[in-house]
Amino acid sequence: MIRSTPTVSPAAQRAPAAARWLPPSPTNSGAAAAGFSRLAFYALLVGLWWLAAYREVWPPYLLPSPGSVAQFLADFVRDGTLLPALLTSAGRVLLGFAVSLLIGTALGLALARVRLLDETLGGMIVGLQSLPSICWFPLALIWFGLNEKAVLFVVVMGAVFAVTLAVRSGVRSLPPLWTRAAQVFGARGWALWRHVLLPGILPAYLAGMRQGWAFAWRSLMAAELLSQSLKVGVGHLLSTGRDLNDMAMVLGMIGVILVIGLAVDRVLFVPVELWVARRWGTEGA
Amino acid sequence: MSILLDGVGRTYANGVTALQGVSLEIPQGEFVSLLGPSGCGKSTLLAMLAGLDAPTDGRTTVEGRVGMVFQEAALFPWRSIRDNVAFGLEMQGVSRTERNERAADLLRRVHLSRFANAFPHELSGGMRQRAAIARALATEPDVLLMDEPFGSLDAQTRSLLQEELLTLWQGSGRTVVFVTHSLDEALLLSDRIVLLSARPGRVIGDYRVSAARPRDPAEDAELAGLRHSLSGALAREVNLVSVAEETGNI
Repeated sequence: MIRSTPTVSPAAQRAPAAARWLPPSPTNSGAAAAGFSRLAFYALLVGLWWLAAYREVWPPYLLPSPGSVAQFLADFVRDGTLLPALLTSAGRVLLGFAVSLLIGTALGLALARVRLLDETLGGMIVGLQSLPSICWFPLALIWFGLNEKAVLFVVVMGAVFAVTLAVRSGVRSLPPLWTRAAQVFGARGWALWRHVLLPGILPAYLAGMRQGWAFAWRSLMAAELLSQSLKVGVGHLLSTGRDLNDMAMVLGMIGVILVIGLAVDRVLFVPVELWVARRWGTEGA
Repeated sequence: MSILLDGVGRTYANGVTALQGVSLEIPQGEFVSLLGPSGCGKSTLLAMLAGLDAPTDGRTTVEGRVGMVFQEAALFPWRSIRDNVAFGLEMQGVSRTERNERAADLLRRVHLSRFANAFPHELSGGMRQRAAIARALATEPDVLLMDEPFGSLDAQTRSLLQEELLTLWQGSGRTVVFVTHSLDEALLLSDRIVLLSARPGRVIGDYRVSAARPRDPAEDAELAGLRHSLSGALAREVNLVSVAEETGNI
């Protein structure tokens, strides 16, 4: 028989099976301390803001107090203005994001597989990524008119290339050894994609999705700021605030837009990315 | 007959010839080591036997199912050790219950039962290579191809795994083609050692090793003799490679 005392890596000894599925928690106390200092920082910021408004360092129409911004938001929720606008914007960004994912994934796979396409179209896409997506708006207005299609176009142009490039680099950086091993053990065609290639690019894909989401949301806000006559979204409310010279409305809407962008990132993408990094063992790598 | 190579050559698109006129017959159940300096086309030869590459000259015939163990374990990081071992069975459409049973049995044989639910990055290099061996055996291959499987392991783990491999192989009737650049490893394991030349790889020696296992290369007279004649030949080929590297003529 064999004398075998399998050696276990320290990570496996520390983590019981169930703990692998949880977010990392080696430095709970450190995280708590960081959380506390962050909270204190924001409290200080609001305090300073309140003090400046209270002392009227700037007149209230330039710097309203935190209380009046909160009051404005509460009224906006109560009178039923905010929620429909939120839903409208959410619908637009989700549609644009979904279209970007579809096109970006297909395009990224094509670039990764077809060298000629990558050398031509791929180079152009890398270049186009440095163009702010709102620059497409005038073009979209002439092509489609001032309507939802124009807004969708701008959102897609904002997000699609981030997804494309992430898929491309994900496929490119797949270790050839995985593909070879998969083929030796009989993975062909769709099975190869489903069981090896797609899971293999998942970490890169998620990073691309996350970036794509951020671009989609920014592009939508830019488009909404410039398209007053469409169905009201949160970007329109921000623009209306300026038209009314209502600083509480402007600050309140900036806050709403910021919180949505952040919340989707932190609630949706960060936990999934952490889970994948732990499970794939790419954490910190 | 299990494997037949007939005048096999492989020339790449860039004009480099990796292998030239390699002819070999390997009967079923034989443990053959392919020994040669790095870059002599050993791995290319193995890839052709695995169906991952095709010869540009000659013919390869492999009878039966093939399993393969790679240099690095090449496990899939998102699959548990159990699911990695069962990968080939899954591709064959074996039911989950049955492949879990098979995987459990194999994990027991490579002493990894406790780690069935672990993920590859949680295991040491030696344990990962054990799992890779289990994965290769899961589909009950007639031919087991091994591409320097223990090359990156420390000496102790390496000798442990060599011993375990022999235990798994003996009495299995499987053909093993084992690529290595370590003469000692080849002497310890194989029924037969095929010596390949520096690039382009050609067969320059074919030695039978009949010493009983378990072997001790330091004690056995036959092994000592083989070691002597093989190490001279191997050293010449390694020298050729380094000369070629220095003159940029690869």
